[in-house]
Amino acid sequence: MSKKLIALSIVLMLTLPVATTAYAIAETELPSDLKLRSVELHKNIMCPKCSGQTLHQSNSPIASSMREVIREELLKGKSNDQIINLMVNAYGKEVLASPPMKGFFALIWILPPIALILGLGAITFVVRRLRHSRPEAELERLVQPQKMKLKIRKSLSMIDQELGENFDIK
Amino acid sequence: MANLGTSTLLIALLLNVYCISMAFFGAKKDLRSAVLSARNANYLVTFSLLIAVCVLVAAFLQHDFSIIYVAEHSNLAMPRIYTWVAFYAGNEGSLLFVAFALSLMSSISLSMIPRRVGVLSPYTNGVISVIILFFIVVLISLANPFSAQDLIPVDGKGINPLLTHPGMFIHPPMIMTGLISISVPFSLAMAGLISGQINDDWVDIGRVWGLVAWVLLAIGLLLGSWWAYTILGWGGYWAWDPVENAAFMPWLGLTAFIHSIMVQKRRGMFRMWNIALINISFALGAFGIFINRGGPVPSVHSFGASTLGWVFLLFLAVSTIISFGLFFYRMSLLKGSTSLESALSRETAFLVNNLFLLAIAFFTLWGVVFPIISEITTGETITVGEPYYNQVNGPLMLGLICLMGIGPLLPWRKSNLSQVNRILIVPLVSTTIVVIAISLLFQITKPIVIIGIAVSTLAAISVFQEWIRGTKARQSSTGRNYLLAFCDLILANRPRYGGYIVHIAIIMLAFGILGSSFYNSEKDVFLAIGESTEIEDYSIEFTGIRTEIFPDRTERIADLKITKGDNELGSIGAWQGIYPSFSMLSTRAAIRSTPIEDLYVIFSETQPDGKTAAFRILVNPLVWWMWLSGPFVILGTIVALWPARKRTII
Amino acid sequence: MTFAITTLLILISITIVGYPIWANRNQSQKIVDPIEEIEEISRRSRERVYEEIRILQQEYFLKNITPEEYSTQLNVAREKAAALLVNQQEATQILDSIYSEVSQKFANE
Repeated sequence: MSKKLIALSIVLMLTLPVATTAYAIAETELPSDLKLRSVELHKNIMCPKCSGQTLHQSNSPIASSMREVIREELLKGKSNDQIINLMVNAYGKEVLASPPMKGFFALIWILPPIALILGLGAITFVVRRLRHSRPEAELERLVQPQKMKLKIRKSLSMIDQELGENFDIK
Repeated sequence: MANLGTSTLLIALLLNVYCISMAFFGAKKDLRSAVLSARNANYLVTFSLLIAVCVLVAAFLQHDFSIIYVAEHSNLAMPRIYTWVAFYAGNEGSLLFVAFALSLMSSISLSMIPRRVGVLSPYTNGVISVIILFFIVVLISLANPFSAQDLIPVDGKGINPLLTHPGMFIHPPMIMTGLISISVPFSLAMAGLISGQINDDWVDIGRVWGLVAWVLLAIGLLLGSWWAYTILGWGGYWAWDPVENAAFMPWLGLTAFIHSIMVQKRRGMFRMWNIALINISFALGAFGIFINRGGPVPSVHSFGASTLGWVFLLFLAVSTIISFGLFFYRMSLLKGSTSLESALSRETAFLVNNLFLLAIAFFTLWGVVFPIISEITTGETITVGEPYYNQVNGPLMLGLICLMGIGPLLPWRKSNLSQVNRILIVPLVSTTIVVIAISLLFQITKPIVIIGIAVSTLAAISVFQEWIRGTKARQSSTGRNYLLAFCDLILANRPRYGGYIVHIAIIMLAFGILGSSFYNSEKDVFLAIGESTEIEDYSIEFTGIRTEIFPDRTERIADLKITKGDNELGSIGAWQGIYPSFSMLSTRAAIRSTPIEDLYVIFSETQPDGKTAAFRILVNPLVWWMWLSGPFVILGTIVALWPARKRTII
Repeated sequence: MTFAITTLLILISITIVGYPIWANRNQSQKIVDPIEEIEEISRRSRERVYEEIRILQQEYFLKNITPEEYSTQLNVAREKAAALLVNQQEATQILDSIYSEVSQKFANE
């Protein structure tokens, strides 16, 4: 029994030829350590014209031929990096699932932690500021004059009545 | 037909313009008659758009191929039921759907605003009608679903086969409605800013519609994942595809909003922040619509693509500038009157919750736009794929679940370390015990998984503890039995306990994601009829292919007999359909799902001899829990939204 | 048929949109009555205080705060609500007296 590493998945806009035999290539079995590396590589290399799918997800003709190339290179004994470089040279940097860590592209990885630290800083700042405002002053302002205090005590019964209407206090 | 449709759109346009003018005029001049007239005009716009919708549906049912849109998305052979899907299958129809949904929601929300809030109502009417105006103008000038053609074809093209899956009956309309429904709380907030009335009335209605938008998007996203899992056939359910992200980001903003609005309801705080949050969510939603239509980034979702991208980008830019402009203009009005008494309080926990949610949204946005920025700056095209999103968002999501565990246990206003220790000791100890037990039992060694289990358990224990304590308190005070006390508890404090139900749903989701991401097995094989293969402890035998020919497609089902150990588990059938007129092959996975794991088989190519076929087989643990979370999300939201007249303590 | 439906729609729209203007032409045009508005604002502020009381009672029920703390804070809240009520009553009185003064003035002229 021959095993293949091709899966047929569906992409909305991809038009697949009805005669699917066009890319039904028989593959020979890969030894298990190479198979693991191969899946790893498939998950990290994009299929260039497949609307954002990795080689692992897509099954267009391009993806199949790329997987075939990877299989051959693995059997030749090439390292993961060498295979990746081969792909990049052939199809450009966009074929990598993640941009390389150097130069401008490192920005994609640098920004998140910095932003998170800034966010935590902002929260600390906000919490400190909120802690130092004093709403008790509001109540003092309302309650000051003596006449008010009398009126307030008179209104307390009305307040308790409202509380009773609105709350199920036991 | 075509003329009737276009005429109704024109009438809707006129009514809409009248509505906007009268609403703002009446609000400014304090004229009741103008305001009421504007409100009626809003209802009439909805009515006119409803007629337009009916006209298009009638055109489909009558196979009126003189209308280009009908010819492009249906044919004579199409069963009537698919008219529903064909309606929004293309750009023009989906825009009409969105315009109608928006108008309907605006009318409903307008009727819900109580008279006593004064000018808040007409200003809300005005703002949301401006958004409707945008869509009507785009419909009439750039994307008229009723455009006619002189050369009437004999038969139409037919509906895209991928849309005939049941998931497609609900997923796109839910996502579209969810995205556009953010307009309602947004308009309320804008009305508050314009009128200077930043009070608690907009909070009540804002919270309701915020929750509505939130649940629509949540279910839409879950359905999309389920659909991708069953149909797209790579065994996964989420690819951080730009269009997926486009709906995910506003959902995150809304999640932050529905949490932070509770602080405003309870303590009158965060008023500024809530308006900013709604502005952000709306901007993200507008961005989502832009990505959906304009497609500056490649995506699996390109079916709705058009050249209208720039129009929606313009809408995004203008609405963001105006909303934030208004926000800063009125910022002094929004200063809160309550203080934070302690850093160790539930209020602070909500702030951290907001931070994490917005961070995930922001980092996702960064991943989506970075390729565009890179192209402009360096000229090189690069891809930002799954590895980035998983590594950057993963920890934050774990942090959120951890917060779900700690937050509800923190008291409002203030607390101190000894009190917090007292509250947390039982949950933390139980969590540790559970985590150690599970790790030993299932031999789990991956640190990420252990952390995932730990935070999920903590969150679950936290909810259960709240339920138990509350039930006991209620039982002792009212003397009823525990079951009734529990129901009373939930009904007495619906926002809170509805929220807890949703938290449980999220924990189920987390479990499903952990299991299927880290412990799945996969295998691609060629099998001849009669041959078997093994995966995990399943044995799968390919027993045959059944073929059925229909007018528009050929269906093939590969029958597979499943055995586990000594048990025969029956047969499953992996389906594929070939659609010649679309040159498309569509598959549906055969899934044998149990709460423990899914056995998942996709039937792909057949060899020329017709006897050997390629299969992708997966064992995905715990996926069942992901789909179970859906109904719980809905249940929790219904409980949280159910109005209560008398408010009770516990 | 197109013409018929369109005309019908236009007529219905004009009627429904025009009705409020025609019906309210002799009535007060204020969107909200000022006295009602004062009552509303005051009621909302009191409800905010009641919400605080409710939270307080929850915390007390769940034994998160001591009984002394509970009663002190409860009384503070009750007084705050009462003060708001008193303010509302005084404001309404002032508004009422202004109205009666103004209408007297006009009655005299």
